[in-house]
Amino acid sequence: MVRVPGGRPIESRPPPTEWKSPPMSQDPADPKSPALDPRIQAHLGDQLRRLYADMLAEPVPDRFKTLLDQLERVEPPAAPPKEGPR
Amino acid sequence: MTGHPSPKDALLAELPSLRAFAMSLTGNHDRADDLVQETLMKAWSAFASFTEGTSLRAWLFTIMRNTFFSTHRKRRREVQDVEGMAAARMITSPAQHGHLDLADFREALATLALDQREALILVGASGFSYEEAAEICGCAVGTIKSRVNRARQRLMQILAIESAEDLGPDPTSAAARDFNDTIGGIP
Repeated sequence: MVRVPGGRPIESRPPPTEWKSPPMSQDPADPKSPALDPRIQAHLGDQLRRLYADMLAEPVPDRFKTLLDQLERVEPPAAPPKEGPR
Repeated sequence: MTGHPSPKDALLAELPSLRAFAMSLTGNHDRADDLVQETLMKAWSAFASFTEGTSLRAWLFTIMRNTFFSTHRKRRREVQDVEGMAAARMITSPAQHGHLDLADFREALATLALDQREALILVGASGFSYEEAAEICGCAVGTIKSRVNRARQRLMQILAIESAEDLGPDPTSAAARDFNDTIGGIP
């Protein structure tokens, strides 16, 4: 195997113009994105939900209850309309 | 929804969700709690404009998101990204030690573009429909779908998942199947 000092093997890489990155679709209707293997989707989804469940389980600091108590005292809530006036 | 809880009780009940979404957006506990506080105050004074019978959570998330982006836009993108990655490590909770997989996932999630991460979390974790997520983000349903899809593709790349065989035996497949019904239904 011949190595050129400081150089790259000449034939091993395609010309850079071959490397077109896929267009970042701004068109929501673009159907081109490849479908993911359902098992991979399921795996990613499971991880995501575990992570989120962790965040949901965090204890809520008292400062928020205190804030809402204060708001209720200082600025009684405007009730939402019972029936939509529209 | 049954009965008419007071606004205070209704908001209290949403606090865990609000904090989780704030963490997802900011990646930082302090900034997340500031964002929650600001959201609560805005929600309180705007409560009359909440339409009863609609999703309070979606309404609050919309307020939170708008609040976040009105301040967030001022920041430069590179700063966000670096911050997001550093912050991702701070999210680690003690309960997760030994879950190497999940730690990797957390870091990968933090490197996603914000719009993709947000869409993925709204649809995949917060339990919103694509339609609701689109409403919250103020964009088309197709845009949400495409962001979710790109988010998943990107996660796969980052986590170097090339085929389902890379995943190994998964003891949580029941939950995964369940989830797949939610997020897997993109045509």
